[in-house]
Amino acid sequence: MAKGLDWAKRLYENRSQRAKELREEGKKVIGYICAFPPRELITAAGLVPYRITGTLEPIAEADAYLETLMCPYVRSCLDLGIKKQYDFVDGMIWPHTCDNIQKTFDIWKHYVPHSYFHYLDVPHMPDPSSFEFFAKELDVLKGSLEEFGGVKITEECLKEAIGVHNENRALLRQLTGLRKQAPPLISATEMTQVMMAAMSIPVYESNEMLKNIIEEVSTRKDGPQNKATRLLIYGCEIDDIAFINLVEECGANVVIDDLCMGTRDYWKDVVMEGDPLKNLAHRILGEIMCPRTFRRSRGTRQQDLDNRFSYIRDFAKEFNVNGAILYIIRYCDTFEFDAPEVRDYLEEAGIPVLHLEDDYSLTSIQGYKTRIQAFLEMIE
Amino acid sequence: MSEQKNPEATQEVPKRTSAKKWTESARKVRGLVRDMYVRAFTEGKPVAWVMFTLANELFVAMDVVPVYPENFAGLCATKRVGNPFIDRAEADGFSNVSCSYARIGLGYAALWKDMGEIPSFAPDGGMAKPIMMVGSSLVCDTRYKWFQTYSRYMDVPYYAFDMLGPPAATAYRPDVREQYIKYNLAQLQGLVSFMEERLGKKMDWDKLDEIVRRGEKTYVLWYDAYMLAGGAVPCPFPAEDSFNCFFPAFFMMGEVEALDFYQGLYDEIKYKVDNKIGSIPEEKYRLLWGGGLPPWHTMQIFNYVEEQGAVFVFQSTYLPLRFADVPDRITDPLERMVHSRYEAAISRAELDRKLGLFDLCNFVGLGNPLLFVDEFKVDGVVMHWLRSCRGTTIGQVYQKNLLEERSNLPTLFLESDMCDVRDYFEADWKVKLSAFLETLEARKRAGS
Amino acid sequence: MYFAGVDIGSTMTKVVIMDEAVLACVIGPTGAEHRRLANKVMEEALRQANLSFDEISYVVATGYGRISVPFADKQITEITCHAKGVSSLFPTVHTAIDIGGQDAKGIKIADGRVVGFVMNDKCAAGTGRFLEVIADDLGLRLEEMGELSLNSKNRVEISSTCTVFAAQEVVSRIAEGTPIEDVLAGLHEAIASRVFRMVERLKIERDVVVTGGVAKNIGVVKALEEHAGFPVLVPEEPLLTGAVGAALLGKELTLNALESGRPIERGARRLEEATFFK
Repeated sequence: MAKGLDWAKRLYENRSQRAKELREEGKKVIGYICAFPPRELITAAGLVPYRITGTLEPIAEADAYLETLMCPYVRSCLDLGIKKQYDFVDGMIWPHTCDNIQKTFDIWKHYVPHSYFHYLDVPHMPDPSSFEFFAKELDVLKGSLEEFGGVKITEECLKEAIGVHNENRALLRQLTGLRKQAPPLISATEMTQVMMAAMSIPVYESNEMLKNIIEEVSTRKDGPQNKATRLLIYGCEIDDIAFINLVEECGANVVIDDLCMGTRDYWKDVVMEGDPLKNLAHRILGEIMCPRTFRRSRGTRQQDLDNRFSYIRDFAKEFNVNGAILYIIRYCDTFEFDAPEVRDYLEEAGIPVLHLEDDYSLTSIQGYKTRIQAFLEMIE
Repeated sequence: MSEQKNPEATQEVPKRTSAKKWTESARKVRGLVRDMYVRAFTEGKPVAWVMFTLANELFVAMDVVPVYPENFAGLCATKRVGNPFIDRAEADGFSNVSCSYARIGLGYAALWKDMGEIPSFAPDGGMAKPIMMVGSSLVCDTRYKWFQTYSRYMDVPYYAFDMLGPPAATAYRPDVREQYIKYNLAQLQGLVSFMEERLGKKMDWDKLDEIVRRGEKTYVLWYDAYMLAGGAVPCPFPAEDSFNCFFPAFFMMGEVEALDFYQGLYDEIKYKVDNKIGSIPEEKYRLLWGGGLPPWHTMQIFNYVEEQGAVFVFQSTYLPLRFADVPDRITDPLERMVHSRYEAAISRAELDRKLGLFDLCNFVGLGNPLLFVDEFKVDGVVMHWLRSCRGTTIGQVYQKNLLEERSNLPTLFLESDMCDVRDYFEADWKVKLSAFLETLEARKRAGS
Repeated sequence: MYFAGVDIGSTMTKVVIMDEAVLACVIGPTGAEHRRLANKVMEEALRQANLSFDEISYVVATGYGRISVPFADKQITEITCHAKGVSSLFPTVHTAIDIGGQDAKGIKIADGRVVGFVMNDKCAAGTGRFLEVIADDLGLRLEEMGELSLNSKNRVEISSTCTVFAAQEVVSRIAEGTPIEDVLAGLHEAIASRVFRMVERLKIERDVVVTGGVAKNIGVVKALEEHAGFPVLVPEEPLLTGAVGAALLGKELTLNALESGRPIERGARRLEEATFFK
């Protein structure tokens, strides 16, 4: 049985299946929201990391627990929690990455029963004192995972886990690299499915699956068709193929992304030499390029913008895109503040931009079709 | 460059929207607010634009005039001149769900740049040009993201610092305590270094020490005054006064005037409490404003409910921080600042624990109305959902659910925004408030 | 050679047939639900031009219903089509504002091409629907509202931005005794303001052209001019710019293909009614 792209697609449709199986076998599953919590620690504790996501289903239960004037993605996650769809998760790591996530911690904890709950504070600044604080915070997390998992996480064990997760990231980067070609060997829709699948199974299985997929895709004959327009998509939590699929159906190849379920998550590795907790802190706080982390720069405005956004422009050049879509979820404060800057930065670099604000549930497909199509007509 | 008409020409004459106040102290505040803006233009001192960061003492010590753009936004909203600034910010691509304080502040700078001068409809002469900007992560993300965007319109160095607070569950652990205090201290030190560099002079630590200790006394008076008023029957200090009177604590902390103000407020409230002097002639319903920034655009709404015999006896949005005494062995003023804020978090957490709410992570976030409803003899709670404020809106439904579970008090949700008047539907509010009071009346008659 | 542009809006379908000049233009109802009547409008246009369907070299469909009509060779968004149409009528245009029954758009144009756009298709308050609701409530004809509003000496402010609340506000103002023209003036200003704010995101540049059904409303046009601070241009037939642009684009595609010796890409088109399931 091929455990490659096909398996990934099946997992995408039913993400919890493997985690549930493992639970039957006596393993414990630790859920986490957002790209920031260190999966490496979960793996090192002999537990199964599982990335919590939402769904495009209408929110039915969450309104009784959480107000509507906030991040629809987090609301959707809570909705699933209330509907008992996360009952297979034994515990949660809840990071202080943004207001919407942070302030939902109490509510999740109160209404969605788990046997383990850990609040992980994450500094907003990337100063030496911030890294020190965060390394200590990871140490506290390590202690609580040890207690829950009934194991001691030795330094070797942690380094090994880091190595395996680095491999996972490297494989994802390798797969991403296959999108540089014209046409890309894997579509953005498929990439999303692969990413979602990869984050819902243990890292060892994820690596196996990714290796199979890379082999499969490198020699495939049934890949995406070449389109005139190659796009970059920038945004936050896209965990469903609906939007990306729509873009690709309108007649473009989405060849690279900067998303929480995409390159933002796996582009950089953890350094292997030295103290592993410090290194984990450094990757998460220093290398994950998310607007919620304040990038300090002295100097001119241009230097500041380059410091914060040149990596997006570099992606665009490397992957030879002719346009970018900013897909911003409504109520996502940090991204909404950065959006006009990112838009202008890319346009000044010669990359036309479509700036969309959505409520995550894609209630008006027709409207998006028109905008995306008009954008493609504009840049062709 | 947009060919647009000068926005002031299409401005409507602003209606008076502010509330009539009951205390002398509250009536003094408008003058203090105006002074902040006027000083910045006239005193010849360097000006800083600052977010509310619990660090005002540093600016006082370094002889800098701090101007607070979030206060400016509230002022614009009261005078109903906020929306042209909002329109300008949105024209640049900022979302209508982003903090309306920020949209007003950014729109102000954008229009200033477009027009080459401060728009003439900016209240109190507007905000003077700063030589530095300071933000922090305290309370919400907007507080460090907002000023990062100013470089679009102004060439002024910006410094952001972190101020983190632990969840109640771990705040007591000595190692956690040490971890947080160490970090917050380092972050404050970073701010001082930045200020020294910008101003070309060193911090006067003795002066800061004096100011910090003055601030500590001020915090105590602020807390005592508010708590004394909340429990008093009849209510001498309704919410509209209380919302005004937070100004010196938030934006003038460390100044002699702030200390004098809260001494005056405390004395005034004590007098009224001792002599059973309230506000409205007949207190039929005692309400609590249980969450959400107030509707700066229409503070008169508080008078509206007062006409129907209801008074907001307390508001838990701008809760005074009850600092425990900082031990004498801590002599460094920055350390004293950090310790006192940490102690405030612990004391809040203690209150939450008493109620069996063990793990609330609301360090200077939502005040918890549950803490006050019994003590302040409250009949009903009103909360305000704000389209553009995640910091004070998220968790309100949770608070309401807890209120229902524990105290059987009716809760009303009102929806608008703190500044953006497009989100406010007055007829809707009036109907809801009247209906709510009818509910309270019915409960009274039924003897519940 | 003959070219046709079909603009299938949510309420009205507009068809234009041209060769060197416009031979026919028809505006008719789209038909509820399944856009069943769009082909009837096409048939009427063919009758007017005295042509058969097969004589049309290229048909471009645009608008809301462009995807589900089977008689087009290609579908192009109304944004691109409006830009083309408006530029052909007003070569100096840099900003087009289209206010239809259900949506509103702003299009930034340079050399006849789209360089930026904004759309509102979620909220009724900045569209023709806003006026319709109020016209209904007040028992007025839509066509007379604009003229009436110009009689105002003392415009009132309608502060509600939501159609439902604004309608309530209008009714209560009139009940208070406010002259109807003052209330209407406030209403027209409210729409204009909403649309203008949206289009400002594009950095408005002259010349500004206003199209769509609401462009026929002199009250809204004047209010827009007040916001802009300069006069705006309105075509004689403001409903047709989309269809004109669509036809012109069809012509361009065909001529370009012929010039470069490429085959013309045609759709499998049939002149029949649209079906619900494509």
